[in-house]
Amino acid sequence: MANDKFKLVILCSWGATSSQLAQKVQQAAEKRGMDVEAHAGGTGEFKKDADKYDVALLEPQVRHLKKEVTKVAEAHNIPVELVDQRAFALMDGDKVLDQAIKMMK
Amino acid sequence: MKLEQWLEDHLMEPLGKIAQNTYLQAIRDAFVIFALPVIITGAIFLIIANPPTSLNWGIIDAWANAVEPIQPQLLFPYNLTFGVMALTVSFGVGYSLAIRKDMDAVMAGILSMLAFFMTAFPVTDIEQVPFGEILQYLGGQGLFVAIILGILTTEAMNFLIKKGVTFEMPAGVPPYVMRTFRAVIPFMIILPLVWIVSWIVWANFGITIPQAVLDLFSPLVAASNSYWAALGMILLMLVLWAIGIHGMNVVSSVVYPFWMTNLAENAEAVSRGEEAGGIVTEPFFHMFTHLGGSGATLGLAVFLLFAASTQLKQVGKTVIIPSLFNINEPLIFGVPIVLNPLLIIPFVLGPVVIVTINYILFATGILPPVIVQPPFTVPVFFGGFIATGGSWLAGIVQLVNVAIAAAIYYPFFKKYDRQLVEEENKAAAEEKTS
Repeated sequence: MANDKFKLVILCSWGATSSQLAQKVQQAAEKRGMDVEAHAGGTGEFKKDADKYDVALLEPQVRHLKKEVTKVAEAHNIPVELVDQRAFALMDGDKVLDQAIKMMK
Repeated sequence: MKLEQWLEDHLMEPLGKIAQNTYLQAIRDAFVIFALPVIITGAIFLIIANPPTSLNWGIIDAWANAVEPIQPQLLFPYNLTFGVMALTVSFGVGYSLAIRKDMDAVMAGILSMLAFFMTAFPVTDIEQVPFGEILQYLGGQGLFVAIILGILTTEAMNFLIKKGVTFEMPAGVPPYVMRTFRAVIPFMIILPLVWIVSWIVWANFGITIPQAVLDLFSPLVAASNSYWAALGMILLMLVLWAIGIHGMNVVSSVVYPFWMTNLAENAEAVSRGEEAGGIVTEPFFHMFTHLGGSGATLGLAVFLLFAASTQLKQVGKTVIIPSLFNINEPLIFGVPIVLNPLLIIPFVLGPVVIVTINYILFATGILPPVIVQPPFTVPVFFGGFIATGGSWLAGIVQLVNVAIAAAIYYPFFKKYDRQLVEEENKAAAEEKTS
């Protein structure tokens, strides 16, 4: 599979919960031996460094910002999706990683 | 599902517009990113110079005696940091807005800051003006002008550059040279314009622009400091959360300047040894109401650990540690509280009760005023202690509030837990038969 090397970013409003989730995704990727980099950030910063990522995931509590994020992401050809609500609540890194892999296809 | 679609169409759209408003975002960033380190640093010196003598401890009294003769010197860092809060914010607004408009952010920040600086002084012989008298306008009292001017100057700069009113250098000129020349004409037009307006205001009314605007805004600041304003803010935050939108994020982007003005006024009053009357500040919500996160869910997080249903127990294990640091988004979505008619009741009711209790405690002076804005992740008890500049009572009030919220959550939690256990049993039974 050509898709096991990519960078993803998880966005929330201040970067507090997203960094925790990103860590979990990172661990999940390492367990599977994938070369994935999981980053976290606020939606505000995303505009500046969107070009660094291949996939962007938005946490459910900032879904009202999806339009804005999508606009930035489209300029860099990055797919954007909301993190699955249950996976977010349980900080399920595996599930979020699966979601990102699906988006990469 | 229908309800969710309706919310999506009728609520997300307009709310998204508020939250995505570039001006509001720039203002919030200016406070949260630029001003916060400045005022936290200053607040430390404010506390050092004003020990919490109400504790009546020998060690505190010794400290009070030691700082008394050098109090003005100890207050120097406080005076200068809080005293340039609006100046910092003016840079922050210009900078943050320019980033969103793809402009030279540093130049926009400097222009915004200089423009604001220019308005704070009376337009007379500047050598006759004592700097100390100006500080209050460069600080808390100048916030509104700092914000308004930051937006105006950045927009003006953007307009001039877009219209080509700049020196454009031929290709091949080094970027830093280009930068100077691109900024110089907007600076030369905008700064003198601000000066002329300041002069006109000073010549006609004998006041500076920050003074004039403060007079204009002071009824609004006073209104924002009332119980009804606090109640309205907390209700809006929680109702937004209840449908899954970051309520604090949306509400704070609108009212941050008011919270900050109240906070700065409190700090100033304390530094002068006067009584402070600001109640509705950012810590009033983040520290004293959102105990364990929005909706005061700390107690609920503990209950989850002892839940009978597997789902709630699982969520409890994930959320207990973040909850101690007031991070509860996973809890809100995991329980879930979002769109859960049963749990929305304590989620709204608990904080409303807490806001009411706290407002009374602050208004009657039982609790000392908030003078520090701790980061929102400071745990319960410590948060209240720090925010009030060292009041144990404030920490204890926080703990009592956690208990009150927990008591309000308990019956709803119990009922919901039972519902989930039934569902889980049913699902397990179906699996067995199939």
